[in-house]
Amino acid sequence: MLESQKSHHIRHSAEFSVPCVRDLTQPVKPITLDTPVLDVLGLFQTHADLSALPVMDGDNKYFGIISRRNYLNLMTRAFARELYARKNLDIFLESNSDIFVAPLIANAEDRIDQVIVDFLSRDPGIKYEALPVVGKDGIMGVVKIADMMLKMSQSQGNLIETMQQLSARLNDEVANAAALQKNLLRPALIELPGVRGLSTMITSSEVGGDFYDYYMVDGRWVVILVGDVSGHGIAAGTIVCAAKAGVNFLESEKEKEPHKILSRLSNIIFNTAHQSLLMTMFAVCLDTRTGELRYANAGHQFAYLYRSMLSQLDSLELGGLPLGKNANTDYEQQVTEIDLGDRLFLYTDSIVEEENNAGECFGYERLEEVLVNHGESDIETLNSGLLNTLTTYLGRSVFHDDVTIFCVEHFEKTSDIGQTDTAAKPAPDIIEQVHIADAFYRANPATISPRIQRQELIFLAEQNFSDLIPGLATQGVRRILLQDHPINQQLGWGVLLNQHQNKNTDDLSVFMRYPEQRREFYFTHSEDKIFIINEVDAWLQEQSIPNTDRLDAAIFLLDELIENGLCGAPRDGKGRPLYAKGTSRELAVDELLRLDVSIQNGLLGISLTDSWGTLTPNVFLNRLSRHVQGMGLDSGIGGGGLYLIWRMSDYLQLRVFPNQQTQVCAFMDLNNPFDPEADKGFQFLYHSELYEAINHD
Amino acid sequence: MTNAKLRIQQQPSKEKLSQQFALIGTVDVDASGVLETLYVLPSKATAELNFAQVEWINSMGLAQLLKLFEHWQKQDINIRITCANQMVCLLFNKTGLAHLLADGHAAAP
Repeated sequence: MLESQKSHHIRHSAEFSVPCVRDLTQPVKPITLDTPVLDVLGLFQTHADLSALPVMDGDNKYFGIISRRNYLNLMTRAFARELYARKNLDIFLESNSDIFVAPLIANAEDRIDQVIVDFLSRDPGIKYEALPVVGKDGIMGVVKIADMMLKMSQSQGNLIETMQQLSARLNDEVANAAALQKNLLRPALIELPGVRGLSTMITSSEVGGDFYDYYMVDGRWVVILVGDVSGHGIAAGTIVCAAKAGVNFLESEKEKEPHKILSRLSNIIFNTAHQSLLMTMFAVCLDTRTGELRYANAGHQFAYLYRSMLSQLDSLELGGLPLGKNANTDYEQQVTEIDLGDRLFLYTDSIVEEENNAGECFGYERLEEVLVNHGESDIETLNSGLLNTLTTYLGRSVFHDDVTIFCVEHFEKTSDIGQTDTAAKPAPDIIEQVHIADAFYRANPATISPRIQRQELIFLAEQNFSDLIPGLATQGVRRILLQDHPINQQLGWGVLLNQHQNKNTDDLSVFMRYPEQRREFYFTHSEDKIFIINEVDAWLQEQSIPNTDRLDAAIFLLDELIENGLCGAPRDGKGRPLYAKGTSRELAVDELLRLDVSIQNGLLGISLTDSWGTLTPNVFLNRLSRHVQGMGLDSGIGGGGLYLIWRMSDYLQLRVFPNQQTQVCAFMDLNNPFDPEADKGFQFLYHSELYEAINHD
Repeated sequence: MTNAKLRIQQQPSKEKLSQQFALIGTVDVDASGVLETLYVLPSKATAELNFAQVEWINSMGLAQLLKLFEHWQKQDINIRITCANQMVCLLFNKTGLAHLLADGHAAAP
């Protein structure tokens, strides 16, 4: 296509142009200063349409202009005709120089609207009726002010008509674009295997710059994307369409790694917008079988994760450049785990940035308050509750920018619903264990590869490590052993290191194979707790334990363990507790709650087994992490039990068969005094149905 | 261990703005109602809780105390704990409750 054709093609069909001075110029032969005054009068009298005469000097250069009205006003008087009867213009000029003045000289190519504006600013009373017009060859004539104003009026009428046509066409095109964009979006109601939710998108103009999308890979991994193009309107909408086309391609390629998705979309946006527009995006991938959540961020608002069992809102904080900023951008990726009942909340920045009449933003605190307050509401209620709170705060229901709310809940594991597994790998027969030393980790606090299965990863600490727990917890490290703690010898190093292979339902008997004393208690009612604790208390006192503080710790630990088994373990499918703490209840017929206590060579082992299997590594690590950070105990609610059980033990082991059994074993070295400042080793063995760790590579 | 419900006994005090209370029995989840009676202390007062007769305390009881202490802190009330046994002191320290006390720790008997 030729350049001229391209130009025509882009200009579309809107036809409108403003006339220029040349179009209205009246060609007039200029006169000179030696022209007789009466000749000039004759010219005006014989040419009724002659509005003015340009005057040239002796060097044939423009000197001035004589307008009809001014000249006739003077020269139609008898005394003037008599006075200048035999004189030329140069004499006339001596007494009437103002008659030769023009407020401006118009250029033949000037737009008349610009000339009129200029003229009116100089001669608001419109005393002059014409202006000289100069072309590239000099004075070419005069233009009447009245002609220009008349033409302007006609032109404005044409302009309005053209604008109306243009507006109607643009409205049609924008409506088509809006409909197209709406059709590009996935259904607002999200119903995927293992995940359900709702998205709400409100655009501030017909075509928005917000974006959400989701797709499933191999019936197991759910990819979720929420993005926001800088600005809104048609240009932003174009980038959204480019992103959507990219996502469709990635979906067809079954791409599920958030960092790769962002990197490829960034290239697409970069090549589409050439840095004129950027797009932020948060990308997540949930493995609906294991609960592993991988995420990456391209300059977008951090997603929130509401952990139902903990009633806690976490922020998935991770940075990254917006899409389209640079070519070939790499994105960092993080991993965490979520449990059944947990919720993921993504949104665009307008929610927190919209301002009320006082100029105050809605802000993160209000958003987080709504998310926590609606933690147990259904997602529809959460979405409408958030929008209601926002509009009430703003005092309006129209937003200045696009608003997107995207909330999904992980409500069941795909392995629970008989999904055909084409991608899952069987558990490896040979387990390759990975050990990480605390000294190495402190020197290289980089991300632990998500490829390492957490069940086979052991963190070996030579000294106190609790300051590392928050970081380790976010990376899912759930087996930590203190290298030089004497209890390791009592329990057996080999046995400890191989606990992931042990699927015995009674860990106490594995560690203490030849107990000198062993007691076993089955609960049928919560009221059994006091009786059983007192029974164990009396029995332990008979053992003449050398360090009496150990006895107090053991009884405290017993109370916490049993309380967890009675009221913490029973949960519904969403992970919500069935009983409030302290509830008096009878155990169901098929419900098991068993306490085992053993003593062997000065080692006390306490084990509590329940038949719920609802405790998850997430909850445990989160509790430890929050306590280490000084915010573990929830005012009036609790949340200290698991942490204190760990603190009171010399070694703690938790083994969970999801939805089948939880066994918590605490061990105390009775031969040595209790050291409250020492960190203790723990291992959380989580035996999911397919394999025991998170890895979907 | 008993299931003795928590009771609170106010102790005589010479100072008008210093109020002393003896906690008696078990501080657990059921203690919340009894502890609510202490929410009405005047601001800038000093509240002293005597733990000598506390027979049992668990994490749920600590959470109830935390709620009370946070309320008192907003009222600018100084909080002191006396006659706490070794276990209670340990629990206060490990759960961060001790940070809310006027002297930063629970006093042993």
